Order: sequence, then C-alpha cells, then structure tokens
Amino acid sequence: MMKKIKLLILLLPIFLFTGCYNYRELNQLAITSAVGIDLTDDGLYRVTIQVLNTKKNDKDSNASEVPEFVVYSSDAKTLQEAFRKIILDSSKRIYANHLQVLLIGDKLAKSGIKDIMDMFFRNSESRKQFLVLVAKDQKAENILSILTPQENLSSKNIKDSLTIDSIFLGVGQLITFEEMVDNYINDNKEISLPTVELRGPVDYGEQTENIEQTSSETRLVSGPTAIFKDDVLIDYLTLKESIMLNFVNDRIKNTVVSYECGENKYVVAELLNTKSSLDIATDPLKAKLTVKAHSNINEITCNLNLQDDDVIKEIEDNVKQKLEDDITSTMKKIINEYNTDVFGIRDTLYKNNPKYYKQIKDEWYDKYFRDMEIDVNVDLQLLEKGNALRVIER
Amino acid sequence: MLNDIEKIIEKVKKDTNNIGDIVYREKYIHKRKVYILYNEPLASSDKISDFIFRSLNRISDNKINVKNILSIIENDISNFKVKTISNYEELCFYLHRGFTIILIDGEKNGLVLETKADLSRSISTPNTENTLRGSKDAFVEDYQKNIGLIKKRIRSNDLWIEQMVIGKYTDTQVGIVYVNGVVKEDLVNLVKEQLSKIDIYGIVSSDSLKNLIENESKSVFPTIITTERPDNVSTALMEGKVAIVVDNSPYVLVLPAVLSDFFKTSEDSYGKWKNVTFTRIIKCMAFFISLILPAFYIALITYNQEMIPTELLVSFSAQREGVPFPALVEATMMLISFEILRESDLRVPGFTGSSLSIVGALILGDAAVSAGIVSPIMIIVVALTSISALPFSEPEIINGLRWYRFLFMIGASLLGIVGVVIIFIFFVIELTSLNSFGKPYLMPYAPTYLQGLKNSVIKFPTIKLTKRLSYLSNNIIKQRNDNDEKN
Repeated sequence: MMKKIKLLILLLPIFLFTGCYNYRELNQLAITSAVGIDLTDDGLYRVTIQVLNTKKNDKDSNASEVPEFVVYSSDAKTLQEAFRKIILDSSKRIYANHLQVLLIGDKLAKSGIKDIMDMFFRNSESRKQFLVLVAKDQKAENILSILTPQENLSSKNIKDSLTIDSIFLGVGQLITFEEMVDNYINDNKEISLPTVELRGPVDYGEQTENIEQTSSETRLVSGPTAIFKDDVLIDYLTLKESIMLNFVNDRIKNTVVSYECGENKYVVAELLNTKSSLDIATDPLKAKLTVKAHSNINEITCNLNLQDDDVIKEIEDNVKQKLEDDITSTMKKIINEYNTDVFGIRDTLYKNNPKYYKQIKDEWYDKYFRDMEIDVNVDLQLLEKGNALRVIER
Repeated sequence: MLNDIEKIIEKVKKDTNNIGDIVYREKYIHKRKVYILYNEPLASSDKISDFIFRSLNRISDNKINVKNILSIIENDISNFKVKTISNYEELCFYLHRGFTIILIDGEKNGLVLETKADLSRSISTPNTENTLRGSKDAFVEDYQKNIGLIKKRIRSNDLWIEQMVIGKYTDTQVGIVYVNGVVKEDLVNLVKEQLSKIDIYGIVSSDSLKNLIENESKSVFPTIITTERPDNVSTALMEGKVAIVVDNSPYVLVLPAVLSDFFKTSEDSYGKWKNVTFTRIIKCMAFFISLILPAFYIALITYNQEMIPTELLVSFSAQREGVPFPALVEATMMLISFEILRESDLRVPGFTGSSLSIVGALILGDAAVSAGIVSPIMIIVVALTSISALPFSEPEIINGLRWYRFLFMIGASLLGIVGVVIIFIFFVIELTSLNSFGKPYLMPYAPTYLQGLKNSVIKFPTIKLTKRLSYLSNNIIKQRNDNDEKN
C-alpha cells in the first residue's frame, strides 16, 4: 500500500508539472480572421489584422451599433516584427489559427510576395488553409476595414462571396495558401489569385452608416483574376478572361455562356457539371484542352424553332464554337502578352513526359511556351431547352 | 432439554432483560402446567386468541390421556404450521420470528406455532424503475412475498432456492434463487462461497450485502444489478443469472452484471426491436456525453481552439468574455451545484421539493449568467451533461460516471485533448480489468462475443434471439422443444 502511494506521488508531477503547456483561456485571445499586408511608401511592411470583437453587447443596446470586428495595423521592416508590434495596440494575444483570408495589397503584389510566403509557411501556429486574395488597385488595409451589409465580418464576406462566385459563376477561384506555395515551390505552374475590389469611398465604408442603408455606398466586390509571373503580379484579367482561365484550370462548376444570334439578340446557355482536362502533345508542342459540359438553354431572344432538331444542333454548335474561341483567345492573350504559364502546362508536361520536360525546362519561356499550339475542344450536351418550345413573341 | 419450564422461563426473562414485549401466559390443562410464550410486536394477537387459546381450551375440556398431551395438542390445535422444538436455541430462534411457543411442564419438547403478524406493506408499484409497459408490481420488504413474486412468474420445479441466514444479531434470511438446468453450477457455488464467507454482526438490506460480496469493491462501477422489478429478476434468472433475495429489502440482487446490462431496461423486451435499438444508441450517446462533454468543452476552449469552427468560436468567445474564472473552475462550480441540488432533491420531503427546484433553476440558470459568474454555454454543457446521466436507473452508474467526469475534466484542464485521451485510456483500462463474478465487464464487446452482440447496442428481433449467452449458461437453446429433445 505504501509502495503504491509512493508511486502515485511520483506519478503526480507528470500531470502537475506540465505547466499547462499552451494553456490559453478563450477570452484572452484576439481571434484573427483576416490579415492584410501592404507595402508602405517608405518601403516598410504594413500588417493589418482583422480581429473579432467579442466584447459582450449589452442586452438592451442594438447589436449593430457595435462593430463586430476591430482592425489593428503596424509598420515594420519585417513581417514578423510588424505582427509583434500589433500587441502594442491590442489588449489580447493575437491568435491566428482561425485565419480565413490573407489579403495582399496591390503595391506589394507588384513588388513580389516571396517574403509573405516564407513567413506564413514557416509559422507553425497558423493553418495553411486560409484563402489568398489580392486587393485590386487598393491597399489591403482599406479593404479590411470596410463594414459589409450581409456579413458582420468583412473577411467572411470576402470568403463567402468568393466561394459562391466560384460555384455559380466561375470568375474567382478558391486558392488556399498551401496551394499557392505548392505551385510556387514546384515551379510548374505560375500563381494566379482571385481579387477583391473596393467600390466607393474608403472613409465612408468604415462607418456604421454604410451598412444601415439598403444600398451601401461603399462595398466589396469580387474582382477578376490577378496573374503572376514568378512572385510578381503582372496584370489583372477581365472578368470574362478570368472565367476562361478557370476553364483551363478545371475550376469551373457552373457558369453562363452566351452568343449573339442576331443583332443584339442572344442565346444564353447555362453550363453544368463542367469538366476539363489538359493534354500535351510533343513535337510539335501542342496543348489540347478538352472541356466536357452539360448545358441548359435559359434565355433566347432570337426567334428560333426549338422543336426542330437541326436548330438545336445549331445552338449546340454555336455555343461550342463561342466557348472554344473565347478560351483560345484568352490563352493566346496570356501567352503572348504576359508569357506566364498560369495554366500549369509545364505541370502536365512534367507528369506526362518528364524526360522531355527536363530537356526543354530551361528554355521554356524563351522558346517553347510562346510557340505552343493550342487546340480547344468543347464537348457539349444540351439537356434542357426550358419549358417553352417557342420564343415568347407577339 | 425443555423439561424444567420454570427454569427455561427464568432464562428467557434473564436473557431478554425481561422486556415487556414477550408475553408469558400460564395455563393449566388437566392439571399440567403449560406456558404460552410469544413476542407481542411480531405475533398477531388475533391469531393467538382465536385459534391457539380456543384450541387449548377445547383440549382441556375434553377427556384425554394426560401422558400424550404433547401429541394431542400437536394434532388438535388449529394451526397448520406446527413444529416441535427440543432446545433453548430453537426456542429463541422462533420466538424472535413471531411464532408462539407452547411449553408443557415435564415434556422434553415444546411446540411452536406460526402466528406471525403481517408487518410488511402490500405490493405496490415500482418507484425507481418506471416503465410505460410491463408489470407494475415491485418487491416489498417481506422475504416470502418477494419469493412469491418470482415464483408466480417461473412456475417450475426447476426454480431452486437455497436459504441462508446472515448476521449475528439480525439473523437475516437470504435466499439464493436460480433456475436449475440453466444456471452454471460454478456460479451458484461461487455465490454460496462468497455468502458463507461473510462474518458480520448484521445486514439490514440487500445493498449492504452487495458491498460484502462484490469482488470489485475498488471500482466505481457496479458489478451487481439491484432491481425492484420481479419481471427483471425473472428474465435474468431464465438467462442463467442468479438472484439474491434478502429479507427486509425491496431490492433484489442479480448477478453477474456487465456494463451492457445497465443499458437494458425491462421495456426492451416489450418494444419493437428497431425502436429498442434506437433507444439504446441514444443511451450510449448519453453515456459518453455525460462522461466527456464538460472535459471536451474545457479542452477545446483552453487548449485546442483550432478545433472549434470559426463561427462557433466567435460565439463561445463572446460568451466567455467577462467570466472571471478559468473554464475548469467554472465547470466544476456548476457541476457541483448540480450535484448538491440532486442530492438535496433526493433527501427533502416531497412538499418542499418544488421550491428547491425553483431556487436551483434560478441559481444554476439565469442568475449565475447575468451575474457574470458563468458563461451561458457552460450552462448548456452542464445541463446536457447532467440530464445525460439520468437515463440510467442504477444510481451506481450515475455516480461512477460522475467520478470519471471530474477526472476527465482535470485531465482536460492540464493537457487539453491529450489529457482527455490519457484519462480515457485509464477509463478503458479500468473497465476491461473489471469482472463480475468471473465474467469480463465489457462483455460482449471485449472480449468480442457474437451471440451477445445480438442483444447489445443493437437488438436483434426477439424471434432470432434463440440462444442464451454461453458465458451464463451451458444450456444455450432457449426453445422448449429443443430442450425436451435433449432431456
């Protein structure tokens, strides 16, 4: 019995002397939902964090009067120093495990994002699953301080609207930090990131009046894709080009395509279950993109006889043709104007034909990428023509 | 030898300190001195005067052979339970059981006649094990009635009862009940051995006996079922278990009992199998919720915040804001106040119970939150934990859960989820190392036993449950026909 008690006394410190490693009460943490990083005019990093405001609202007061988040920012030569300096502002410890969004300012993106990747990749505390976006023509700091009408947190607003967009329209793409770094390190695919745009005056967007109106004056909008070469932002695509780029990257789930069938008259097709696959043929180098999709006709303003099978066939062909043209022209534009491989053609080539890839790797941009042939093939299946067989017309 | 009755009477008077309870009535039958002794509180005066005195008067009126007076009384007296006794110890034994004793001067033997007063309440409905369906009778404090309630259900020669008397002062009657041919004999022998080992001044209820024969007295989990429902006992007996009926106790012990037995209720045999399965799954969930939920909550909000979904974290964090205590203290405080409430609710008389629950609900609920002592989410956690322990009718299970709940909370507050896992390992070690009269406590899960799994969390249709569990019975076929063929 004494032996057992002695053993117990010896075992007890194992539990007690842990010092409660990593113990932190929930209410001592500043839960960070978004981080924005900018380059100031002095060449310093400005780190802006969006922290959830967990201060208890009084029961009687209207909840909307207290902003749901607080924004802190600080400047320093290095990112880590800037992060630590935020503690001077905040009364709580910065807790980045629940980081949702990393927003990169326009200026910083144009000067290179290598440092950011290194810092977040090295950091053990934060998850690598947060989304990365570029603040189009804007400082990340400004965007994070905007109050948004539908969501209490602007970071959640950014994330949700990007998610919805990537499902139903296909302009944006959900790119996590992990994926971005993976692409960058592996050198097989250039970075392309979704963007967020600010519409309206910044100052006004920071005030609660902004969300007390039915149509907010200052708002955040999902923007077109930003394309990078190496770690430097080159340019922003247009919305339509963004969709086409996503077709190549197989990121489209649903989207809408239209073609002109008469003067100012259109046929609009909804694409469903879209799947695309990229195939590379060598000698000569040729990228073959196959897009498979189901389609519904949702809107027709020409007078077409939908009972006629030939007409249906024609619509199918036209949509197909239109899509093929658009994708091809977007790819050509990116290749010729920006000369950056955001499609991951090298990646596909490496996977299919690693020997050949090693031969041409060094001269890829100088020689091969520019001269590559492109062949886009769309396989469309028209499923529904809508409820009416004829176009509503008098 | 009971020849010298004056001496005997003197001795009884001396040994009992001449208390007024014992009535000594002198009577002469054909000039032979007869003493009639009985214990007034235990014996029924009506029976004594109606039958015994009248019979004795009739005998003394008739002409008889005085030499055979003992056998004449034994024959003629109007009482069906007559016994001869021959020594002082027997006399005392019967005297304290409400019998009437007739001693005749000069005779070697005395007579005892059953004149017990009915001191037990009548059979009523169960108090602690309520069911919607099934029989509504429950055991009472009387040994004979309890045995009767079981015999009423199993009318067979094979229902065997072995009687024992335990306790130096209490002389409590204990019966080991089992179905011969179904039960494993070594189990009966083990129980008998355990009971005969008991050397104690007295037991007053089956629960004190339970503590004496339980082989896992260190564990917080029960290895014997106590039940007040005769239908439960009968079902268990027919499965090959052993019941122990103790006089003066409305609870009958059933053994062996493994953990999964406590998840079963008598209602299970009345319900449809799919519904029963669903109920049991809910009970299993309740078991684990009650065990781990507060610890899990503490671990999540003090160490492993990254496991909480962001939206939930926000609301947790907002609710924790302004609470001055660490989460462990907060949880312990609320759980202990609930335990106090439960304990006092059991003890107070019924009419003050309602005021107690109002006060309790106010303190545990709204007031504590608005005073900023605890967070609202903690109230939810504590409430869910507490009600999750209640589907189990056996109080020992509830108390065992409570014990481990606090251990889990301490583990969680020291090491987070890792601490919960460590305590869980200890928990499983304890459960697997337990045995109930030689049967592993986690049966039929560990060791896995297919026949038992058919009636564990999932209950198979009753028509398919044709076999008894082989660890309980050698005679595993349940049907009558198969049995007959075998015999």
